[in-house]
Amino acid sequence: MNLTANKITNKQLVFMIIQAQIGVGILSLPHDVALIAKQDAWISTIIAGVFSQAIIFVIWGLCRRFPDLSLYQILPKLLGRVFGKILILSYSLYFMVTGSLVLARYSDIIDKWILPLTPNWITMLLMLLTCIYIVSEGLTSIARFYVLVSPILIVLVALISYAMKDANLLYLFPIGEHSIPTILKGSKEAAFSMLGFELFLFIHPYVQSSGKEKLVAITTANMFVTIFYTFMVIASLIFFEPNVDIALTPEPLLYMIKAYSFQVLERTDLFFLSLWLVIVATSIANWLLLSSMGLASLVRKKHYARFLPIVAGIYLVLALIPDQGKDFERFNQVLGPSHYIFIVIIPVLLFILSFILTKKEVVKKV
Amino acid sequence: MNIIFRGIKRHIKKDFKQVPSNQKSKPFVGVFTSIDENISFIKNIFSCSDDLIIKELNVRNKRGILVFLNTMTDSDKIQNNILSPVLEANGDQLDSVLKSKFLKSDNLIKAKEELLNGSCIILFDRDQEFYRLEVAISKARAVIEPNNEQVIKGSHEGFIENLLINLHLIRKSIRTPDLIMEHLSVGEHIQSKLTMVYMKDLANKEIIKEFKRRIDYISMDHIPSIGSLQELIEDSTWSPFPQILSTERVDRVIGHLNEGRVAIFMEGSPSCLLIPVTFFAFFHSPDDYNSRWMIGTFIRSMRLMSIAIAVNLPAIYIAVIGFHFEVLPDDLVLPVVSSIRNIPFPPLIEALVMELTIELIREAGVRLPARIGQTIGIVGGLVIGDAVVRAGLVSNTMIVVVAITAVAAYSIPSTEMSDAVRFLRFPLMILASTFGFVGIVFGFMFTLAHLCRLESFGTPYFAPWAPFRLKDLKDTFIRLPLWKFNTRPLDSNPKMLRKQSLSRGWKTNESNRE
Amino acid sequence: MKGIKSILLVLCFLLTGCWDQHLMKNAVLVQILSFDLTPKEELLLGVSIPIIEESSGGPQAMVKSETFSASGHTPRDSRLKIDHEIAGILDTSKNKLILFGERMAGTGIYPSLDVIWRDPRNSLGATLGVVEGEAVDLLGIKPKHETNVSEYIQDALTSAEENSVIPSQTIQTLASEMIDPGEDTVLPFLKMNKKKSAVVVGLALMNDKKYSGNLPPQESTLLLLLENKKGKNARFTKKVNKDDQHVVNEYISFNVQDMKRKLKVQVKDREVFVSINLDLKISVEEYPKGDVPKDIERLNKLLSKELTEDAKQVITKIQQANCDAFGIGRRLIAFHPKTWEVQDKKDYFKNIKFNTTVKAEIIKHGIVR
Repeated sequence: MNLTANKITNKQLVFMIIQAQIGVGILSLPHDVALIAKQDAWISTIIAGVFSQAIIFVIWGLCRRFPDLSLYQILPKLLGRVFGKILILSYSLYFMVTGSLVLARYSDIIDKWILPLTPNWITMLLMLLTCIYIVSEGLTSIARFYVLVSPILIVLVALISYAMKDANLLYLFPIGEHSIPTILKGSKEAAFSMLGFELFLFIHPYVQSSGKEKLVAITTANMFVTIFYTFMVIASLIFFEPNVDIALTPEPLLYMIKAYSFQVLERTDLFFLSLWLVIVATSIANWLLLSSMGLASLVRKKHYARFLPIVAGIYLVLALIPDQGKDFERFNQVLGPSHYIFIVIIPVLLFILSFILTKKEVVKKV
Repeated sequence: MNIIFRGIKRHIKKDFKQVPSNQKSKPFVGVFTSIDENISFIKNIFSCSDDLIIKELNVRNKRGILVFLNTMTDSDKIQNNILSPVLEANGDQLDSVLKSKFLKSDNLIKAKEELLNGSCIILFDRDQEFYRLEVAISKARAVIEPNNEQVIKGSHEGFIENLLINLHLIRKSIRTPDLIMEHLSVGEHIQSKLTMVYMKDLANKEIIKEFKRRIDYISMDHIPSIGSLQELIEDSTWSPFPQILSTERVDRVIGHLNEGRVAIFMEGSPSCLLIPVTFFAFFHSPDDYNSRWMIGTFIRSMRLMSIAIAVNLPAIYIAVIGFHFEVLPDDLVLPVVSSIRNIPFPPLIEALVMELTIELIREAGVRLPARIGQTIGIVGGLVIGDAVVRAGLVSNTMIVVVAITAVAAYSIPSTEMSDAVRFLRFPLMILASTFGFVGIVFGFMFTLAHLCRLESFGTPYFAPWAPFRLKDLKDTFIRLPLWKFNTRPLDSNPKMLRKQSLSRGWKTNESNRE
Repeated sequence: MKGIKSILLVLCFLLTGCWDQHLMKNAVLVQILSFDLTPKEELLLGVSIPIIEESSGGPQAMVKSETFSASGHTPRDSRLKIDHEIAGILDTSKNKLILFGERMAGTGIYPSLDVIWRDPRNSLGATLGVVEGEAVDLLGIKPKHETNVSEYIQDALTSAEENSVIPSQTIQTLASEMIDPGEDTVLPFLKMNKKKSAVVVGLALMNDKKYSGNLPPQESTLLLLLENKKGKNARFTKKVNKDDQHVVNEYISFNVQDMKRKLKVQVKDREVFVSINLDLKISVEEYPKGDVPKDIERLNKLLSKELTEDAKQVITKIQQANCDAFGIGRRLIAFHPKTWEVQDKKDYFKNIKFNTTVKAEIIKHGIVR
């Protein structure tokens, strides 16, 4: 597979980032945020969007200095081979852990909602095989797939909007009752669901557009995701009583549409859940892609596809470890700081470092 | 597992990788000076086959021979076109007759090929050249409408087994010097004639090059049919979807040529291959363009809906009955329950039995002569359908589902695509019976991912949906009015994107005048 | 492609098991659930299941219903007992109705609903209702024209919904209202009459998940109008004339065509004042005395006065029942959180001062004068 065949367009980049950001969290995000920020959860979500936009600027700035190198190539260049490789490995591991957490949460929800008796490893395996298949052919076909399945997001919005007919706007009031630290704490929860834009660090060399266009693309994606999430949060806030009820329902969006029936279809939640599977598949596919890309660049192999089965195996093992809600929390506690390290701190440090060392890729004029 | 397979693949590649056979440099055997030597050479090549006729021919004391295969030539034509002019020519006229009527050549290998194509050869003593003239029997059937691709309105011409006539049909419709026909031949031992037809100013060079490259790799003794050729050159054989469109309709080929695609004909085959194509080309019928655009759009969207039904409906039914019957609306629950209550089999078995029965009925009907075919239809459709329900083996609702699926699958205009779609529903049914809706979604994702990966001669197969191109949607799901088609679709990478400017410009001009 | 190979491989082991399959043909669909309290303070669960009788030749099978009941400590416990009794697996996923006996409703309905929310397969589209006396008795009725009890009760509820006697709601929409400290629910109130058929007799008022009173149909309709939850029709019959020789001539029947409601919550010195202004545009459906246009001024005035009084009575009743059907508490939380803080969370509704006015205006009187 040569590099030119593996390019994606700027528009495809938008959808890739959107699909990377929107993932398993969409179902539980309103619950998680509302648990802390109550009726002000939507403010937290917007703040989280703004916060991730700030990180996006840094990431973009870093990429702009190395327009032809992905982070896996930047690391050894800036930090030296040994330290760089250690970081590559840890990035790769980080993506594995995050990805397998997503996988575990996916199978947990499937287990709770549709297939309580099917062994979890089977549903996980099914998901992993699908993701391997999506990812293995290269970026172009991944991007095509992501664009193709994006209309699903609109269907989800439409389904949720339908449920709005029974909403009670009063639940949103009083606005801003909670203190700013509480709201910020809520946005921390929301921010975890917004992760995924770091994909840009790794695929930006393959995008056929100028640096500015890339920034526009990734900002568009982030804005869309923020609006999408905010809509979902507001929808569940005005549907559920924000103090007790929403705390009782871990997947408020599913609950919301569970009762609605159309002429030919009842139990809309099953339909919603089926569509949601596609969204989850795209985000797991992303983690798979990133971690196997990391391993590939560690051993300097051109193509990552042969690492996919190995990585998928690791995912499966990791995802089978936590088996209860409590384990997720512990998992999340461990993972929380690592999110900051890998998504915020390291890119920022690298960005600063690239100025200090005045290392910059020599841009070849083509 | 992937690794293993990759390994095998590489292994296979290593084993069979070979230099492209160089057809261009043909062996050369010059014409011998002695006529007897020539005779024995030719006899030797054809191993004294009984249909090889060599006749002595003395014209003005010059000894000559007339060679032809009487199984390939028309004796009337030999009499009228060769013998009478040559024998009647007196004096110096002979040379001019020979020059004007015959083609000259000096390679005996070429002579062999020409004999096999139905030519007649004249050799004269002490001449280093021979003369040849095509006098082949033309036993072509009439140009009639192909049975499997009928239309209501529009041209009723279809290709036949004769390459020349097929090319004639194309050339007749596209009278421009830009139409290029390139002859190729494939097959190591028995060569088959191929002709590649394209528009010089539209067709993408890369595709033509890629096609020739793939043809060069073919090292089979004999290409039995155009179907085998298709399998040898298509991108991915591990796919149920056809990646090359084969059609027997002249107007369809012309339409595709004008969009910059390349058509491939093969001697002896009434179908024509079109490359590159997209998924949606298989759902088009010339009828769409001959009827009004709104109706065309409606019919076309119905067809696309029919794939969705044909692939998913049995699977969804199984999932609903076996897993999530709560999705059924209240008023439907009791009727469904009452029909399936006493069925002894799980839904998957029930569905498989019925689906396979339908496939068998189809298969039985295809091969049988039309009169018996009807009987099969009645026995298969009516008797089995009715009896199976009465016997309580299969539920009423299942029969409804299976029937709708069958109708939907057969409404797809291309038989290959229809086969693919009918095949696809079996894995989906199995997935549905194991995981319910979840299984269907995974099957669906697999199919979509597969469609996104497929390419047909370098162009994405699922265009214009993946990669998405809004402009090209005008002629896929829907058919907008023709005057909207200002650009050609991008998927065939045409050199010239622009197709027309304002074709209905008269309308705006008119209003300006007033 | 190797992908297809892997599909095949997956298929091989997919065929090994269908863990979650629950075949529709084995399921015994429950159409109504009823909860009662036995004298021994145990929970009596009643289920109504459809019995499909093979029709002789006709396309549609006859559906009858049968009732089973068992008592236990929790709904699941009782259900298990019923499960032993019948052939097949009880399945509540297509349940359409949940009925509570009066006594059961009095002790609170929330705990018995828990199982419905907890199990993902349960239908949240079911309607709730309170039955006078024992709910399980209602399942045993044998209506003449409709052999399926659940269908019958549902149809009765639907027509009541259309006539604005009961609000249109499901367990799903009720969940938030029930949990919300600042809002209470009203449920359909059913009764079995002497002819052994079910009648919707108005609304059951709930005081924070507990049954605390009921309203007759006319008042129910008025309450729904005050709540701004009008269904398709809202019909009233009022006495407007006196001493006519025919009793029929004394009455007028009308339907509410269009309405506007204004609800204002004001807080003065920790006291809550609520003013509700209801503006009804009505169309006369029956006025045997004739000539509406002549009387229109008088009728408008009279009806406004009567309805205002009725509305006041309704509000007194719901205040007695302590059923905050308007969600005043929620408005306090939303707009006057400080006042809410100091309110008595349980009995705040009783202390609210209401000021209700209803204005009726005849805009249509059919195709005769």
